[in-house]
Amino acid sequence: VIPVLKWSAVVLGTLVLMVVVYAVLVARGG
Amino acid sequence: MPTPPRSRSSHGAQFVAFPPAVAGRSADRVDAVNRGRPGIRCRRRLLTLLIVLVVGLGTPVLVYRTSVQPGAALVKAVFTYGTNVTPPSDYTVIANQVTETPRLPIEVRDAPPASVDVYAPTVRPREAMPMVLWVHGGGFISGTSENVHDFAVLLAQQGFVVASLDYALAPAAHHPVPVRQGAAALRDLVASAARFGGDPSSVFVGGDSAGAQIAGELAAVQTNRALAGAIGLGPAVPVRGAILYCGLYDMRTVGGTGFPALRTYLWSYTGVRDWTSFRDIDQLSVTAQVTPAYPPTFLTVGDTDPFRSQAVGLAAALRAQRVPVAGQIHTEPAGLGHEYQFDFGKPAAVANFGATVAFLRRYGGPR
Repeated sequence: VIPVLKWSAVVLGTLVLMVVVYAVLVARGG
Repeated sequence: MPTPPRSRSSHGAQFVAFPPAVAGRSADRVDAVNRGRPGIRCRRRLLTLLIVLVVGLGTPVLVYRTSVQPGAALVKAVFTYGTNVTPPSDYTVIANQVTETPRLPIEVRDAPPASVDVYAPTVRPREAMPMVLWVHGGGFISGTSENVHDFAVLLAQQGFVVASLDYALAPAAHHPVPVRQGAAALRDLVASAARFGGDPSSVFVGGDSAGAQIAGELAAVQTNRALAGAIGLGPAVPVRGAILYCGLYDMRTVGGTGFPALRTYLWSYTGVRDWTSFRDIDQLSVTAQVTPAYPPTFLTVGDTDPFRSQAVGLAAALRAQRVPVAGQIHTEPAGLGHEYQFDFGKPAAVANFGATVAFLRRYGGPR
């Protein structure tokens, strides 16, 4: 169970990071 | 780990006698043991982190550079510029005095569906009323006529016919589709003036934020033949005035305003990633399209609105052509931001509304 949780957290974290980076790019895109 | 028992061979050499289960382990199992070793485990973690960072940082950058769709969807979901009217406390009483005719279709060839919601006082005055076509904001990519519903009701109750345009949004539709739909709405409004008690010779255009750009260009189209020809529009509808709230009017300078997500808005609207290189970018610059025939203009913007300099530039361009300019470009530190005009909890918004009504009465009366 623990490795599954660990890798789920990594995937979710990556997705959140991607959205945050994208949102910052869009917001700063003047 | 317990040390294996040491044995002595017949030649006297020492060897390590592993128990059968350990001595017979496969290469996989060696690997499995190695994976657990601190140095290799650390390297694997670093590699995973690196991959996560490359994917997490690289993918958004790649998507950001290649497609406007996700950005437009994100901005649409997160930002809600120009979408909320905070009405005055007596709004319910006022709303009971206004009749709404929603969703009258506007037909434009080769364009997505558009419509207008028309608001008029329930008790009609004896004289025909000035008519206002209002274009909502939302960065060209979001918003509906519903966003300015309460504002349209308030304006109509003052004795005007107000038509709120629901135009095709970017990035599905590009410039000049909303302008063409606005021009068609103006023609339909004039044609159906009698139905709503409107004066077909007293028509205004107005808008907020991106809607102010569209309305400003629409007024330019009615008074600038070269622009009308370039956009492919027919006979002009005479416009008595333009009411422009917190818009963008000069594409040469708007990039410097630092307005959030501006690139996404203009990429969506022009269809060109580097929107400054859009072939018809000058058509969007109202400042470049005003002529002495441009109608009297009501301009207003808040003191902390990033588009403040845009209104200053347009006011200068209009005055240079001797076009009357009304309204207030706020300079005093009052904390009036983008779309302050719709927050009727602010005295400045109430004052602005009063000034807008006065402008409509001044230029919309019988001639």
